[in-house]
Amino acid sequence: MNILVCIKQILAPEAVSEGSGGPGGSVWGNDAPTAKEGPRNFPAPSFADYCYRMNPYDEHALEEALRIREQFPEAKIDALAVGPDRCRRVLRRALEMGADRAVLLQVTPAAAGGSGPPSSGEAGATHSQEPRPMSSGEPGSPHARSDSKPTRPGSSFPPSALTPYETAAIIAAYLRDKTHDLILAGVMAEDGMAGQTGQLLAELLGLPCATAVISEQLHSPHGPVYVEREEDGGERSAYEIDLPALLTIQSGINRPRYPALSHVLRARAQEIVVVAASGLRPTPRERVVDSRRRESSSECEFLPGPLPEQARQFLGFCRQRGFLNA
Amino acid sequence: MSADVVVIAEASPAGLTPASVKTISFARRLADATGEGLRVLIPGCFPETAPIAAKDSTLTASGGNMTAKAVASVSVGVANNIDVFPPPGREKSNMSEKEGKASISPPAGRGNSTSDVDNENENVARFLERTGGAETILISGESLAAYSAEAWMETLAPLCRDLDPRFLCLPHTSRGWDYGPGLAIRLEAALIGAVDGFRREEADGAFLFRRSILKGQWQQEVRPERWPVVLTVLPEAAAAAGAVSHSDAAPDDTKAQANAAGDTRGETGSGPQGTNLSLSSPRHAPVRTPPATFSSSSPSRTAFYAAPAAPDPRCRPLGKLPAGEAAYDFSTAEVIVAAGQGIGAAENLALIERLAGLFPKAAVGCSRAVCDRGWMEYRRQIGMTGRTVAPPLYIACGISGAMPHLAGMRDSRCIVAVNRDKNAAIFQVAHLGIVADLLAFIPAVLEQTEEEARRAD
Repeated sequence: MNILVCIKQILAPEAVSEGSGGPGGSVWGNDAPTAKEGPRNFPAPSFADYCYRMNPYDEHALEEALRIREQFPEAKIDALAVGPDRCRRVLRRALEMGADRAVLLQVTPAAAGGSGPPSSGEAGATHSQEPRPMSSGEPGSPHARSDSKPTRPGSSFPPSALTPYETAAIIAAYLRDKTHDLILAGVMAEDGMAGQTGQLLAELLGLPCATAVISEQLHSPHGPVYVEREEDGGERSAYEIDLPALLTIQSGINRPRYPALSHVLRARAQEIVVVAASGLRPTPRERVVDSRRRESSSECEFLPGPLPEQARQFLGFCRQRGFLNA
Repeated sequence: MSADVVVIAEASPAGLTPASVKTISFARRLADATGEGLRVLIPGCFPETAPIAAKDSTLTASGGNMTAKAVASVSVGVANNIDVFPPPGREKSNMSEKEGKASISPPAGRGNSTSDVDNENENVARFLERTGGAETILISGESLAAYSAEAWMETLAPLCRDLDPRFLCLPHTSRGWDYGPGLAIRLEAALIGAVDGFRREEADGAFLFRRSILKGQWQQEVRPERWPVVLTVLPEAAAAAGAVSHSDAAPDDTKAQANAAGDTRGETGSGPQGTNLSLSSPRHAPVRTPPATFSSSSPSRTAFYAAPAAPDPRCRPLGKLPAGEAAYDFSTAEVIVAAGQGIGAAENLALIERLAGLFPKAAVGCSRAVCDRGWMEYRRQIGMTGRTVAPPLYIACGISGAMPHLAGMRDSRCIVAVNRDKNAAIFQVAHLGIVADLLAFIPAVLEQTEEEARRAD
């Protein structure tokens, strides 16, 4: 039984959060390359460790695969990521957690678009560039930034990181001559929040698909697989799905393990297969033209500090509206 | 009238879901912007009418579901015309069987009117009244009785190909988001998910769709590179006018929408005037759009479409599961204090409980992240995959305000947010914001109340 787990290296949301950096300002201000620097330099490892990590939903997907292998020990688990070279890091982590093989579909920054702001790649997709905090007033940001790199012919905007469709199409092209009985992916990527790559990949491969899987049982390596998917309002519906199939895994289905030391050591000896995949990139069907920090709401009334004053005003607010007895 | 914009709505026996109604409202704005028509497809909403075009219509009334007769007779009342819409692209032999027995006709429906049917008339009317006068296609079929992405795509892809819209709007729900991407592949369409607003590019009139990323702190604008484009639409998109964050209007829109949420009915039929309505609405004022003028000027039509049978589904629905643990009842709470990941550790929940304890009718809920860490039970989860609540006062403690959580609480009448990060997305929907560390703020509040109590003694 072959299981494929799609893993995305994501931009940690807290790494993008303004003011989350240490003394001296935001992390981007200190460390991030700016648009004027031209070709992207990948950040130093310590910075990358801070900025990038395995999408947590994909950790749940990988954990689910590991549990299936515990049940059917002959199963082999492939971990796959799409993106630039730095994605080796999450694949290494996947090997440490217990994946048997790791494949990087390498999309070079140039091909992935060198100058994208953070965007919604999905499981397997990565960002080709670190976002910079952009003030909302930055004039004409899409065009203003286009000087930072040569754009692909015919694109009037700097192409962003891979979209879910591009990621899915790259993976689908790679998988054409492979056989997997089960493909698992996270329900969404924590950064891009699209939650589309799995379904797109399934359809491109012609596989049945269930999303937001919160429970999964396999009684035979040949299937079918019994799944429960989560619906709105916390309801669940059950399905029986023939293999091969693709499932996107919801958080809460399991507790991803920490790599055991023995696995960490073993993973050092394991090779990450790198496949040049820039040529597999399809014509995009949609394009991210602009990313920016959301402007703060003018509606929200902020209580000024210090703390005791905030507390006093908060209580006054509640009393005034009758939620607390005067 | 050509329909540039097609909505695929979702329905329960009670009628169109609120998310669907808001999606229709959003689609109306798109239709206004393109100057073309709007069609609403309602798949799988009439399990009892599955045989509508496939078998004869000797159907009995049951539960809250509609019979073929009820559909037919009500449609006559609501709509001016009924078509039996044959599945496009089906084999002739297949067709003839269906057509031969497609015996629905308005007179027959009316002639057989009984009180049962009348009751069901109301049910069907509930579906149709909220489509705001748009052309409506009711889709039935046994394969749609229980939801599966496979069956929906099998039915919808050929139909959508035939209708050939430019925009396909789906509610961003656990369904729309489930089958939407696959549908986009089948239609070779562009796909943009979790859309919360749109605008036209000034230079070339292109449509740019806005969505949130990075826990709602950032937003991006996505431009479709081909037609059609499949959009999964968030409820707040209904109220967001064409303008997005580049104008000052966006936060207003969000707020107006929150206020209007209790009254989506008014929005449904909003005509072209509706586009700018929320821009001028005063703060916190309820938004009520004028009654629809659309339906009176352009007669609505209702058509039926029989879903093709799905012979060998690879994904077989086994049904809904009984709730393992009863959902927590938030309905009586006047105040909901909700804990997010920002509480940092399970033991800090005690502080949340104590804060809630200050209020006479309070309940404690949480975000998904808290449940995933095992700090609280899933039955208390508020958000898209948990409860949807709208209490008079919602206090969000350490909640970043990612879209799935906002979906479950943004209609609360008053929202107070406490978060260390002043850029947290929760402040976009909050009325009162407190930028502070929870673990310091809540003790400060408790101390303040104690001090006041001492003084009162």
